[in-house]
Amino acid sequence: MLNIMKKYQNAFSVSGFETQLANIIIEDIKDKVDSIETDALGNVIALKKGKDSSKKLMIAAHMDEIGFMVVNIESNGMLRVANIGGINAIASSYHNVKFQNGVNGILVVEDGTKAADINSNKLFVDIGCDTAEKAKRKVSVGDVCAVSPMIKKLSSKRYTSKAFDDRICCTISTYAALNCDTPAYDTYFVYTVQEEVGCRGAKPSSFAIMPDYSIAMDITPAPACGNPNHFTVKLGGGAAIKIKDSSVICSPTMVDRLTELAKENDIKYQYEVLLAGGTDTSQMQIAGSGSHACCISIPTRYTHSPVETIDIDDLYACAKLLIAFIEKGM
Amino acid sequence: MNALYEIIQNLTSYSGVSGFESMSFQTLCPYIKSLNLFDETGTTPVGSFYGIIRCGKENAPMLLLDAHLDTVGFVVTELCDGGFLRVAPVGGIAPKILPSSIVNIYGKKTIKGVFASKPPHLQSAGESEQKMDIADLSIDTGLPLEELKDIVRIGTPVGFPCELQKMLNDNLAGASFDDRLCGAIILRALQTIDKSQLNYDIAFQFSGNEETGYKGAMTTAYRLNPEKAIVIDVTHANVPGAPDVFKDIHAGKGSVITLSPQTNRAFTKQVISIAENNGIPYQLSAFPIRTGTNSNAVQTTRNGIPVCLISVPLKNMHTMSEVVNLNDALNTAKLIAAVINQKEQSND
Amino acid sequence: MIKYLKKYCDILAPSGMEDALRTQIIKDIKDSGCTYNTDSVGNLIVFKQGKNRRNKKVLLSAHMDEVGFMITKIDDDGYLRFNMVGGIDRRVVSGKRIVFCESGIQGLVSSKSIHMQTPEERGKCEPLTEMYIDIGATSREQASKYVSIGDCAAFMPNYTELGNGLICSKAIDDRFGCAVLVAMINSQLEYDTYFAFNTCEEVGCDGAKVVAHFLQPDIVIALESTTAGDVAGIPENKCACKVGNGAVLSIMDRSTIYSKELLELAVSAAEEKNIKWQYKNVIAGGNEAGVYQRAAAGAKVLAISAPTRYIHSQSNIAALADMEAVAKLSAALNERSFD
Repeated sequence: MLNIMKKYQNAFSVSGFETQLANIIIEDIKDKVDSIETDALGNVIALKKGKDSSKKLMIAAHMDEIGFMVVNIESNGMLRVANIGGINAIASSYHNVKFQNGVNGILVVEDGTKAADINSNKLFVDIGCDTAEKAKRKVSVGDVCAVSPMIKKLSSKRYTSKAFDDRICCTISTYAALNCDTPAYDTYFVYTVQEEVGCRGAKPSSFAIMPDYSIAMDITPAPACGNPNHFTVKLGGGAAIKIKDSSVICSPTMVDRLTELAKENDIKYQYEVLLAGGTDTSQMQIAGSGSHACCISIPTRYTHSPVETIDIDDLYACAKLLIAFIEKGM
Repeated sequence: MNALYEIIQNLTSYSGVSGFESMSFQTLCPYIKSLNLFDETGTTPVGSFYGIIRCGKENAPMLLLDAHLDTVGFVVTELCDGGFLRVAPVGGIAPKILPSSIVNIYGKKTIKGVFASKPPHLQSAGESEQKMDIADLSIDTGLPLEELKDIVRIGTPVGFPCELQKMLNDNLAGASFDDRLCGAIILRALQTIDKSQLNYDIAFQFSGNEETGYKGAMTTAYRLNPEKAIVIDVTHANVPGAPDVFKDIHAGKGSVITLSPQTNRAFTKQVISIAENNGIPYQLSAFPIRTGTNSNAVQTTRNGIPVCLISVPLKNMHTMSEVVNLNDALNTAKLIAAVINQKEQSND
Repeated sequence: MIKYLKKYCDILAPSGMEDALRTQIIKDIKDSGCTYNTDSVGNLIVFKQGKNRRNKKVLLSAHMDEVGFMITKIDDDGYLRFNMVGGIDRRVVSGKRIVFCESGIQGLVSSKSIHMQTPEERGKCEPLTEMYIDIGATSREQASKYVSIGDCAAFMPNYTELGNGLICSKAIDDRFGCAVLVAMINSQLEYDTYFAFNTCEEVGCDGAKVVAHFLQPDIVIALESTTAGDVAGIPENKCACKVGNGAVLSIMDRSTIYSKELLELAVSAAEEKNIKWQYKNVIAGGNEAGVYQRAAAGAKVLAISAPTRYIHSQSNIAALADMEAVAKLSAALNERSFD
């Protein structure tokens, strides 16, 4: 699983520009699934036939990450950028960034900006060119970049990287697709696009599939230090079964079933009540006549920063729980 | 009015915090079925109950009546020493109504709790002027933590119990009138119609997940695929200090018919004329943007469903003491029945 | 005691309106062989002969009244403006049901719903001037048929048993004290004893002032509800006392420094009879003991309290076991001659 993780973390996949990662994923799983396709938006939809084909299970993890798009190339060669998704301007500034075409740059802040005043309007990218002409040979308006990949192992089975949100769950999905026995139901592994800009990929893919049961795989913020109030999950506390976030209240039947499976299989779990932030879960819940929807979250510290941090034990707990549901169903 | 009161009494007795509607299906569904109104009933994954009255004609069009089943409430986020619970709100609840309020905690069994208030000797000067945050409040269950853990877990829903209280002028106070009351109104209306005269099917959806994004309405309407729909919800009645926009909606003056881009103008006008022709009192309200009800979700389902929004004036929405005038409720039931009785309903 | 408690908790008796409760108490004690009279301000004073006489005049006291609401104005559209009778935090009243004493008219305290609050107002509790009581009336004329300015209301009766031996009611403060006294009056006493059921404690211990002057007792034991602060997030040293930890003995509060002698007597009685007790560990609040201590020629005073959470709201919570402890401890103390 760690190899898949490293491979996925290093791929380029900003919201709306997920092709590179999509191709890697397709390569990884195409031999282990019954069919695989890419839809109009770029969602990767892989089907693994189940024992009972009268029911459908949809699993969604999103491929995209937050990033920046060049909106203007200034005469001095600096690139004005706009944010794609909910970036944390302070956390992203003064980091290396990389464009889809491989050009390296640094994301910096206008001179004289006080720390408290840093916001996405103050950010620009320096790629080392000192005129607009030179810069335009490297990038053009509309090109996108993201914080450069940099995955590191910390002590105690913890890893830090940008974009664990939500690559790490793509990793879990792929791992599950490769390692599960015959699924209980026809199981659709969906790698969605454009989640960070409003769950745009999950909507049509859920509609196309019309699942009976659905599980989103996503990250959830875990507290680090400071005031830990208002968080119900902790890093290393196991797979987080979502109760609610601001977009959805998970179906109690799914929450109960996942709890039961976690207990039966001795998988460490915890419950998640997230007061802010949404996931693909809501879109799957409302597809067609509606589905029983839930979300398995992996606790992650410092979300939407270049140093998102996860615990490997949580990673395996999430994967085991997902596989248990795929194999056993309701 | 007694028949309506009885249905209200029943419907408000079931739990149904948004997202957790299915917890009450075991008791709610048998009750609604016992009214013998529907030819088919069912529930959906998104917490909705529905019932269909078939007119017996093949491929008959369907009129959908929507009210939402879910109520505002809380979910448990932490179990603390001494038997206290911390919670997060589900739907919009003002913290100011909470201290000393009694709540039901729907765990393995239902237990009571009281929202704790800070003892006066620990309050500092000016504290009563500060903002309260629900995350800082706690619910006192009185149970030892170990015992509590057997009953409650993170994610257990918590809601206001409904204590019905009759007031002057046929006013009635209770909890979860938003929107159980409207479910009761629809059921009452369906009790009064002549089913043998129907030339189209009628469906009632008691939809879930309204307070958290209209999810039950859109998915159940998708399943039922009606030709037209009437959404019945509560709206704010004027009270002292109310913003101007609610000043002209009065409890006791009739159903409120809403004009909005999120509802169908022609259908709405038809309902208004039915009210006029039958001498049923009504009031008009205008929502130029969002109605804050299921109307938009239903209207944009499948190929689009013409929707009329009828509301019942309600005071103190989202509290344990919502107040409705039963005459408004009765008149709304009459209006719905009158709309159903217009045989040309599906031919305009 | 519990049968009295339940009955008394559900009676309406905001300060100044204690008649219904007093009538009930008289019913419950009249066959006990005591003598009683109601004084000019409504206090009920009871004397019960014991097996023996003692030199000191000993009084056990509890108050009948509870906090409530009084109508101060009737709006044109039938809503009632009000003020608190006694110290109610305005943050515990919004949305709560109330009932008027004489007319029995039911209503509720209300204010703008969350949807009507501006973003700045969200989370805050508005001033009392923006709150109102709704009884369903639609005009001043109509409301005036049922209520008038000066009418008093109390929280709706709501006696409930929670789990773990706890009870919840609007008026455990101080109906529990009344219940303990009534149970004592109906028991065989060792010594002659006076009992007082007072009015208007919540608005300044007015009843006790008169009783103190009339009886001029030597020793007074006040039975009260005291704030228990053992709620989530409150540090141990600020709790004052804890529900479930037994009868509370106060050393000092904002109105009284209690008699050291009586305190020692109480502690020894508790230890001897194995009654659970605790000290109140913060200096806060006050009660009738202060009045008794300094009225007429003065008295030695002691307060034995039941720890109660959320007093002065619709949901006082207390433990039956603590109340039993208070009852046992006051009975044990009353077996002393105090010479």
